[in-house]
Amino acid sequence: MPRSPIFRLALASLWNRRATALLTVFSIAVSVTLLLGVERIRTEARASFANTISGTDLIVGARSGDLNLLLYSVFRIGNATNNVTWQSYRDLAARREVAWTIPISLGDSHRGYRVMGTSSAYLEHYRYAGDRRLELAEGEPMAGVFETMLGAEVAKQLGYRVGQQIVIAHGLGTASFLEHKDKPFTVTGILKKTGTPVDRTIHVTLEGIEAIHADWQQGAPLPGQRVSAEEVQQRDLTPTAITAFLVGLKSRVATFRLQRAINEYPEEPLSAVIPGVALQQLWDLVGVVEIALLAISGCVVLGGLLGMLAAILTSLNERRREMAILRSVGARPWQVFGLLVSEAGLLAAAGVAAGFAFTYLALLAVAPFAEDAFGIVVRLRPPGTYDAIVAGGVVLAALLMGMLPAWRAYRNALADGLTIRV
Amino acid sequence: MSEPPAVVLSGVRYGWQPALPVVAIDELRIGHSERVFISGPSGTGKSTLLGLVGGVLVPQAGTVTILGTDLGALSTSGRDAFRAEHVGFIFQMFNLLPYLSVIDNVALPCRFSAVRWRRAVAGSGGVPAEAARLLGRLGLDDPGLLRRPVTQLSIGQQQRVAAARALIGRPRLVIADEPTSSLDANARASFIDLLLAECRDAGSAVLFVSHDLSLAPHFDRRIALADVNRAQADRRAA
Repeated sequence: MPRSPIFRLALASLWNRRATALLTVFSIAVSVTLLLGVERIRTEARASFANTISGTDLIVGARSGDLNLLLYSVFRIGNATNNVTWQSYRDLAARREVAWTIPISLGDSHRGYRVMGTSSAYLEHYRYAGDRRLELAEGEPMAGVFETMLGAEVAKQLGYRVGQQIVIAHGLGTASFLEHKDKPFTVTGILKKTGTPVDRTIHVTLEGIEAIHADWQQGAPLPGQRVSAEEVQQRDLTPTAITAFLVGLKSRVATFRLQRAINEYPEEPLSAVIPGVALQQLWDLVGVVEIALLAISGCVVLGGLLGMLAAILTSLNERRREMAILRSVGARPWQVFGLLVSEAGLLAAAGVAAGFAFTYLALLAVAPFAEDAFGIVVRLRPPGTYDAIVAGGVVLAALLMGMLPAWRAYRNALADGLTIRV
Repeated sequence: MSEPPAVVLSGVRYGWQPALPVVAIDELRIGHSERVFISGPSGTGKSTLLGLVGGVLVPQAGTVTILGTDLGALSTSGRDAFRAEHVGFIFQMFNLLPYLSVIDNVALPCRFSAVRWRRAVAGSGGVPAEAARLLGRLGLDDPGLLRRPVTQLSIGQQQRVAAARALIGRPRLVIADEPTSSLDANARASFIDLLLAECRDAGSAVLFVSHDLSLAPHFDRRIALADVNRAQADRRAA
């Protein structure tokens, strides 16, 4: 028995017109790449953000927007508007329901990477990506005043090793003119890679932050009042203020109670946010942009498919002879219809396949950059439901669109009969 | 056993406007495996006649009976299926698909008709083998030639490929519409001899339409379309 000939004929016919067909496939592939890529980056960015902090019940800082607090304390994006006094921190940390706290002191940087003052609680209690804790890849945890522990990315990018000395600059930004040159820090440890902003952070002790600012006031060194690195270590380096702190509770049940207590803290205006809630605010905020991006990508796909439709429609007239020949050897009008629909389907399927290949290649190419620049870890995962829906949707849309030229060819086939028109 | 005649037209009227018939044939009969030459200058309703016999056009009056089957009793798709199974076509020129090989072009009708597929397989054991056999009979047996794209064959070679395609699977009726108009005189005669010999072996009737009367002696019978088609005369009389 003869097998269905239409599919093979469609393939052969397309191959015969491969230059145009290839262009059509390429334009569909590019649009599919965009659609898949945007979604991939979106989900990876979300996963990356969501994985950055876990186990922390509350983030506490000076009164500000929830999102701002989350961004500067955890993601090293933006700046704090104000500080939390050491007194308030000690007071709140001592509350009955609090299991642990991690103090955070920000404001300085080193060659574009932010410097964070913290305590040993950081290594002990900070969790990310479920229940993973920070670990050292080499060296020791920082302990002394002028000791520092580098994130994996910092060490890799700047080529730092354990034992090296680094100078911290005042303020943020790559080209800071005010440096704490007189008080260099020694690298004692380098953290394992986490895929979170921790990788891009230079960790020092709270005392270290206090020490480098001992002879500073109002963001500038006090003239004629230099305090040497040796002298400063003799002083009491208990900080007067920190930027924020993370709180772990003994029982999650107490979260809202403590949050309210902190928000109504009488001594000082403070804000306490639940990380998940603040993240949700972030998603709500960027959701509009994401939808806009997806809509644009969708339009590009539509454009690609319309290009295909135009290519098939313009080919119809010159292919009237082909259709008449097929009719004369026994092809039914519905088979002529099927030929053109399968042609559209084949073009779209090839475009989708190429689009998937492009997407993975692009992700491979973009992954290192995305991680360096934004701390977004792009993992290469096998295609998921969304990808299947995109693939199916594009092919289905192409088949539906292919029905237009197919219908015209069908009508032509009926009208032309077996007459071959040149 | 007596086979039904290949073509019987009786009382057929067809016109694009029913009041002005292009074809008006009271009786036209082509016997089983008879080879008939139909002559007529253009404008005498040749294409319309072929459309009626091929089942693409349906007469406004009368019946077209092919191989004992009244085409008027079949549905549109029924006529399509019938034509695919029983009728092979050869047209003027350029009627091969440029994107298929020579063998695949010849095998094409078998892809659309199970009956012709089976007959081709029964003939040579396989469709490509049967296609190669037919091409050989028509003088195209050079393997190098068969591998070439059809667009690189000469017109005469292309027409022989088209003939092999019309003949594969032994259709009971072969309709040829000016298949030699693009060939020179020598090629014309040898093409017709090969075609007719092959049709004789297959037992197929041939309906050969041409305005070139010099070809008529090759056939069993010659019919001048003007003689059977009263449409022109009717119109002149009116």
